[in-house]
Amino acid sequence: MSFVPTDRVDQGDTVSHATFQQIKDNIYAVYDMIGTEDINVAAAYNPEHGIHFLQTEGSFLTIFHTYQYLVFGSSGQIVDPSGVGDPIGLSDPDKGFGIYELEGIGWLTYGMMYRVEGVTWAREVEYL
Amino acid sequence: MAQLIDSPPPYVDTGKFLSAYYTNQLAGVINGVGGTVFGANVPQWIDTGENTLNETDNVFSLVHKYNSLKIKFDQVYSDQVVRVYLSTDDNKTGIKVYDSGQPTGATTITIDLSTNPGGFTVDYNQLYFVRLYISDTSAGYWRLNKIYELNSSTIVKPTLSDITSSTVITKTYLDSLGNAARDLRNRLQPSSIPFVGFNIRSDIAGSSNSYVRYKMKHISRWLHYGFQSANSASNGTKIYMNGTLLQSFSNNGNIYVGAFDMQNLPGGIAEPSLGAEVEFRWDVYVSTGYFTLYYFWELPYV
Repeated sequence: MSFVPTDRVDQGDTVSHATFQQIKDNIYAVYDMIGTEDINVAAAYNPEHGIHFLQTEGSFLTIFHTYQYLVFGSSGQIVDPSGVGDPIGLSDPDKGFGIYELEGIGWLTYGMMYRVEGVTWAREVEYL
Repeated sequence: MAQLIDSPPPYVDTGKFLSAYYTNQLAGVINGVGGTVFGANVPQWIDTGENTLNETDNVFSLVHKYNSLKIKFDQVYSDQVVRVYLSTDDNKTGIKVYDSGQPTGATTITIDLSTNPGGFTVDYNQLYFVRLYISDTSAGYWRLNKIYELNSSTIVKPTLSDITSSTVITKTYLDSLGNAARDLRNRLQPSSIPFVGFNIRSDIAGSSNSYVRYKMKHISRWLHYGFQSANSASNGTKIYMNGTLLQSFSNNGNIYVGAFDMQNLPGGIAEPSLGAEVEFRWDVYVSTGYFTLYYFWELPYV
């Protein structure tokens, strides 16, 4: 069963049974895909800093921009893969992990992918 | 504004009008969780090796939600010891909460965070860090599958009736849709797990030892890739799916950007079942220059 996003209805429209049937079908499609295990997966680290470091210098993390904050360890930079936007430097404070407010980056929009280089680890979070 | 899933609509009352607002709010929640599940499908990196992985050589990050912490291995050996360290400060290795030998084969270590192991405490929605020590082995290559928290509440698919043009839609039916929306929204907020990209300067290839290896649940039709090949006279860059060669690319320093149609794979390779876990391995050969893997993930569009 495939997932087909349900279109919006406007006040005054006739809402047919097909709309609710589609919502029901979509609910089933989601449940069928996610299975029975509800898991919260850990984010892995930048392999530049792992056991393969002799081969993996310059490795990085690529992220789909989803949340407001980037948290990270060590120093590095945020890079626009297209090369259009200027890189953003990242520095880690002496205590705790680094935090960067991503909504301040003009070239970065939600849903866009970007790279994080140099850091030991990084991920986006919704809350601090 | 961050992309978050809409709140579900309130429960309805018998006799009240069904509004467009309710319909759109309900559809918005389901469209949102659908986007989370069927949107970008980023694979998990499978690290592998035969040497020791020190706790200073790795760090995994989690936003704490569930108390059952799992460390899943596709392969360990009986001559190995695994230790697990937890910390809420990424500058510190943390508390050792597990230290044990392993059986040969696939295994999953479980740590109950509700017991505050070793005195480690973490609050709900707090960021914390997992570090592993994996001793070396002479028996082969260890392979780490993933680290995750497991919700003790198993997902149960509700039973929802089909409706037709002659169906009388009741409060009971609408509330059943609303309950499903609540359950899915509680479980499926968007995640932002990074794709682990590589910049590699020497050969790393082979069914046992390549660490450019990923696993994902097959969800979407298009498997996107973007990489730059190195220069190697003798071998091309190769992608394997579940051990079968998917495609070989010439090593000429070129950038390759494309997408596999999982419904029409090269060489007539059968599409994996939807929802099945699939392993991808890249064999990389480098004589001069670098191999760089920028991204590799499924998307529902080409």
